[in-house]
Amino acid sequence: MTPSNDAGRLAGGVVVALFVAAQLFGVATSPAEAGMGHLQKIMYVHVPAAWAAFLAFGIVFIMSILYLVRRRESHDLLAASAAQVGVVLTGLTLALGSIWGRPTWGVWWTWDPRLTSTAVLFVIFVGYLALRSFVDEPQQRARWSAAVGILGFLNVPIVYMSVRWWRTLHQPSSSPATVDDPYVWGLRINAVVFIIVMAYLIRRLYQASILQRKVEALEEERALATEGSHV
Amino acid sequence: MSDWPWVIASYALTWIVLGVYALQIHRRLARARAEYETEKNRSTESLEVEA
Repeated sequence: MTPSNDAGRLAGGVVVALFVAAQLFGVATSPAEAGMGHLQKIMYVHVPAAWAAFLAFGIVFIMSILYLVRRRESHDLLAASAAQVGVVLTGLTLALGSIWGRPTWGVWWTWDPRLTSTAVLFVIFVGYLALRSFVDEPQQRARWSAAVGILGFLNVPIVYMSVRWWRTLHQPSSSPATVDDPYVWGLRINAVVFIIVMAYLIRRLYQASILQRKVEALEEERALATEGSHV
Repeated sequence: MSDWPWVIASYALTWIVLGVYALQIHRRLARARAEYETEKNRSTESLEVEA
């Protein structure tokens, strides 16, 4: 067991403990809401998952711009890691919204602007990941991914503003500024912990990508050395 | 119908999705570390043979 393995395991344990504590706090301290009853408690996973996904796509946006400016592979790999975590969190947000929507609205899905724009965001970044798996040449892959990453992120403000621009079925965005007092800290704490989870997952994925690149570089180096010794 | 089954389903789904995904990343990182160590050792050996 290496020191970095130990640190990774320790960080993982801390993240899980924080996740459990935040959810217990949210569920235990929030009374049944007047309109929604206990369904309100779904907010502590649905809203933080959405925020963490937006933030992950924000990382994709920044790293994509940095890649196009500086052409460093590390920026591309970090963008790809953030995109993958963002896709998982967006998928989770959509599924949780569906579970919340069924007892509240009576439907699992409706083509409401917030839901539709979130689904579009999900599809764009699934496309981003698909593009990465189709293009073999690393620099071309990084350039095209950066372009899709930047354009894809432009949908995030649309998702965020959709409930203001088109007032339809989805309620206005929940935030500590808009929810009632008993729910504020539960939402804040769960949001922070979801962001920590997101950062942890991106970091681990990025570490794996960096190591895979190093392996490829070593393989190439060895192949060249072998060729050279035969000439 | 009670609210709780929906709440429990939401939290269970969150744990399943993030748990499975975290495990997958953990395995990928462990595999990458193992491959890196193997490749590093191979490269060192081949350099020693050449020398």
